[in-house]
Amino acid sequence: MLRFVIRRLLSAIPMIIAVMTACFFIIRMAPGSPFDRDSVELSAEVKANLRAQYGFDKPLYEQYLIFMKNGLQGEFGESYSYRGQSVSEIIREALPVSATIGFLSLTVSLLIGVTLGAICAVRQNSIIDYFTVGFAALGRSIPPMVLAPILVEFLAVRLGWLPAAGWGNGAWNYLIGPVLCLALYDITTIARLSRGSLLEILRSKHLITARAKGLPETSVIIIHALREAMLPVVTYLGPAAAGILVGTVVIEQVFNIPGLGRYWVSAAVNRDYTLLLGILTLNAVLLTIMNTLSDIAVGLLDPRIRMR
Amino acid sequence: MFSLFRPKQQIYPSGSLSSEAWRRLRKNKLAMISIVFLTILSLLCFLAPLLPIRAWDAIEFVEEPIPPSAAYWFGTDGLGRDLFSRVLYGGRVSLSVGIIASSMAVTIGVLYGATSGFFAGKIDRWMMRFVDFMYSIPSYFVIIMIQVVFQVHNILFLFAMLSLFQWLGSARVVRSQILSLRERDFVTALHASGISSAGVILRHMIPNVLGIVAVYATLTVPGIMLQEAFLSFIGIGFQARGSDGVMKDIPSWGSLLGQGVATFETTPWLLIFPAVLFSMTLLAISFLGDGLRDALDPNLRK
Repeated sequence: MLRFVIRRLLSAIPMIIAVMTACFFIIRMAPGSPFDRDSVELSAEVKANLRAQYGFDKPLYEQYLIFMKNGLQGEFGESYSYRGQSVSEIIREALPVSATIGFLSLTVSLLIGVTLGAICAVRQNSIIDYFTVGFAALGRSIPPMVLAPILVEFLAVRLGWLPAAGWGNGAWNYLIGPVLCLALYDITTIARLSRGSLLEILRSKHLITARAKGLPETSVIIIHALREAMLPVVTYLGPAAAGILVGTVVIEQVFNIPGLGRYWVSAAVNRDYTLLLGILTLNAVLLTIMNTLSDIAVGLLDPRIRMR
Repeated sequence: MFSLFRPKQQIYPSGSLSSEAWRRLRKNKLAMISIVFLTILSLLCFLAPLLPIRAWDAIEFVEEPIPPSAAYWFGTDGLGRDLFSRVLYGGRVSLSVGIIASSMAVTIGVLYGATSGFFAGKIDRWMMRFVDFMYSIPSYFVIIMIQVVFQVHNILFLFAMLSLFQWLGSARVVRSQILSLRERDFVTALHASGISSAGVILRHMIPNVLGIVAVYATLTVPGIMLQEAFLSFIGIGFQARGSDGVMKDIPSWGSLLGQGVATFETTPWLLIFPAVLFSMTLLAISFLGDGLRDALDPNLRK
């Protein structure tokens, strides 16, 4: 098992480096530079100074090496658009906020999704099943940018149960709205996945053996069936983490939360290369970690996979 | 010509939407309602220029946004633009994005996955490694960057960009199907009779996975439409010439949602109408996809 984990971790490193390299060159191959914006016309001298300050005057391969060397240590330099703030400062401030929401929403969607899926599979074609399948279809079809303002309108403005927006230093009542909005899509997907795989497994032969041993039906399902049924769900968690990063952009905008989401788009639009590369690298690292963790979890759940 | 294809269909019924699958699909009420809904909606949207409605960018002087009424079925926005025609024209953009970009994505995915699965071994490993690599590139960043830097508003370019990261799923699905197909006897027979690799892949293997591809394509459409909606929502969307010849942002359902969200408290109808139509469309497409899957499910086949 340890060998499997180590092998998986080692193969994650070249992937991170490859993604960082790709991002660097995609950004640098773009024509023009962040300093020629049409709103402010800078003199040639100022431009040259700026270029020197950010190391643009060096040859591209040198810039690349500097970026990789510092980037792998978590240093990306000063942001272009937020003057005087280093990229790592910005990330250090904003990441915990986004990470809290993202982590909570993944946990919530996993708990609710798997429970719903399991109930549906065990009671196939019951009222609960139909209700959940309908709810899942609906949940997949309502984009978060529609759901969030409606939720705010009803839960916060009309009923006054929750604060309408803001962060409140992460107090629980500020968290409910954003986490729910972010989790809904994943709840429906996870419920659908676990229902489908559990339905298939419930018909398989080793469960007949388990029942024949005289195990009560609950332990047959929870110990034997659910473990196997979790495989596609765990595999889905990697991409789900990526989706959450995108989802936070909308959620943070609607709920006015000081997370990474608002830097995310503004860095791309303002061509803030240092901030953009910082966030991209962070994103690549997080994604790779999530994918690796989900691979390891699949290996833990299914001995056949780690033998390969 | 047609009779040439007949016998093959009878031997491999999973090849296309056979009459049996169509019969099964017709029994599925939800899927049929979805087909009818989608047909009517697409007709309305694509024929919008011919309908007796106002232009999508026609501005009328209004004191304040007009709520839904007999004259303006869906109300107007702050500039007095008729929301009903904006929603129809927006549907034209969103639906064609859904249809064209996902066909592009699925076509690339099928060809890539089929090649990878057919050759297997080392080629397959490297081709799949590339898919993994593409998966870990944050797609939205790249799309936003490309949009910001190149400022291309050619609609085909935008379709290509939206499908840039959406072919990965279908490539994986098709690859695993082809991997198991290539072990089958009829493929060995084809090789023995001296047919080229491309011929085997294109004429014999891909037709065998078309059923799954059809299902997968249907399920890709909502994803791409949501992606477009997200991009329009954050203000990086489509532009086109208005009726007065000036470039402006085309309404798509995504950008209408964005405007609706901004003023939801004072003018809720600006969000509700596009949102309901958008969600109903996504719902109908996913019902259709589920229906197709059930209709083509080989486990149910006699």
